[in-house]
Amino acid sequence: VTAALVLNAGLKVFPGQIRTLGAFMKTRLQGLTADLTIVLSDSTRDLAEIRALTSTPRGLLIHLPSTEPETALAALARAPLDQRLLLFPAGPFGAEVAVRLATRLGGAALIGVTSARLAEGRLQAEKRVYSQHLEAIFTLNRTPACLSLAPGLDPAEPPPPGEETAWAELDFRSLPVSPGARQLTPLAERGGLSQARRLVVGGLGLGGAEGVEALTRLAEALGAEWGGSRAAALRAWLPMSRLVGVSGAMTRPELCLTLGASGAAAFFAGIEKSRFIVSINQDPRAPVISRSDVAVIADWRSIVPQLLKLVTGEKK
Amino acid sequence: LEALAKTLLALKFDRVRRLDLAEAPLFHPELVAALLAAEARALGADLVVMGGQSADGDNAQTPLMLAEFLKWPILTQVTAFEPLAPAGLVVTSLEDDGQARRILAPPLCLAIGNAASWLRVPTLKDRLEYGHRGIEVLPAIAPAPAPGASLASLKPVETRRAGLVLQGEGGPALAARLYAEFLQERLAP
Repeated sequence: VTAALVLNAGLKVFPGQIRTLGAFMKTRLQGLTADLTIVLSDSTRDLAEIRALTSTPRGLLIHLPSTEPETALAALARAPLDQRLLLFPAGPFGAEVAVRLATRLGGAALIGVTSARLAEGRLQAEKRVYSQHLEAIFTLNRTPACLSLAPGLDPAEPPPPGEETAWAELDFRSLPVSPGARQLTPLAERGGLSQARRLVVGGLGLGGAEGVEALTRLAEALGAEWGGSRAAALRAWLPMSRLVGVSGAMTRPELCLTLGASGAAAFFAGIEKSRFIVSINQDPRAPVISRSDVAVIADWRSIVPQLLKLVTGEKK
Repeated sequence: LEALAKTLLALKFDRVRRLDLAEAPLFHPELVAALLAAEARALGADLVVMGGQSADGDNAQTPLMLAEFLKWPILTQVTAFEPLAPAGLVVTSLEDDGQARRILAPPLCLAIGNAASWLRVPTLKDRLEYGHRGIEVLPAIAPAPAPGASLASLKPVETRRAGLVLQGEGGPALAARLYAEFLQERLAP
């Protein structure tokens, strides 16, 4: 069974996505080989860059008038593909096109996949279910199986120069483009959350603006980035660009401090790759306690002022 | 669910229908999407607004399958939408590269993403006047494709760590111990 990687070169996040799919192919595909990279192109990205980032033996460049999902779907549904497994990146584009393409072609789809394998002749894929509480393995009953990756998986280094890919091209530039003008505003920077070495994150226990101010002061003193849980973001205590968890940033800091966060699974998934987790929470039964390396059972209001003095005193 | 349905009625939604999935197999988004497609056709709806994914199956596929069954366009990760006269919608959604704003005309499916939104609280008067109306419960029967993916196994996600607990010494003393034993060295440049 061979697999193909499917990417949208029209996205600014394309370089990170192709590196993450490359890492998935090398470390999370068992009994399967990805031999083809399909790149959807609206001609905005330099072909040399696409070629330099591709690590499969074969490549297929599909020229489109636009790489919006409707146009991309129309092209992929017409393209002569014999791969039984198509791998898409995490994110809105990958998830949408994976599921809609599988539905259109009578295949099967899964979103949020962390690994895939061939077991006794059947395709299987792993993903989390029940709000990140359980790890499930699914058997894919139909092909093509279209899988979109889970967010936060590790990217690979770019392939070394000299690895040759044999390229073919398909021209679908005559396909219709979705009606309706689109204005795109780049997202406010996620505060570099996913690359932060130190992180301070808060939850509902922050209690509101006062708590967020304490959180940001502590983060500044520690030289850390800051963010919060979905519950805190939905109350508009902090901007959505600071949301940590499966629907926001997936982080991997050396040191993570949580304040008043219960540790709900969907939030915790966003910090579980931290090297060291310290939690401050007054509820000894909160799930975050057993999920931390060190847990202080106390109201953050009684800890943070003294901690600030110690950290800033040290700096002086 | 009953309380939510009564709140929706009190907010003057014309009808509340509950599709009874109690007997339906788990992890079968094709069935849910087929049921919703049948409902949308029967109602003559031209706009379907959905959540992004179910908390249980976490499949995130139902809105996308529904759009394919209806052959309608869909926007996912929607954070806001508002009507635009005479018959359009202004829709804001999150994409891989940023926040997109579009003007679109129905028919259309919208799957809501990280929107800071909540239901209005109905007045007591509206609760009394409208909240008692009946909820229609429909059996989950619709011709649907078999599940594309079947559950083979489940196991808990293991996230336990050392969980060393510091407590009971008073805030300043706890902060001092936390700093000296666990943070100072890690914060060294």
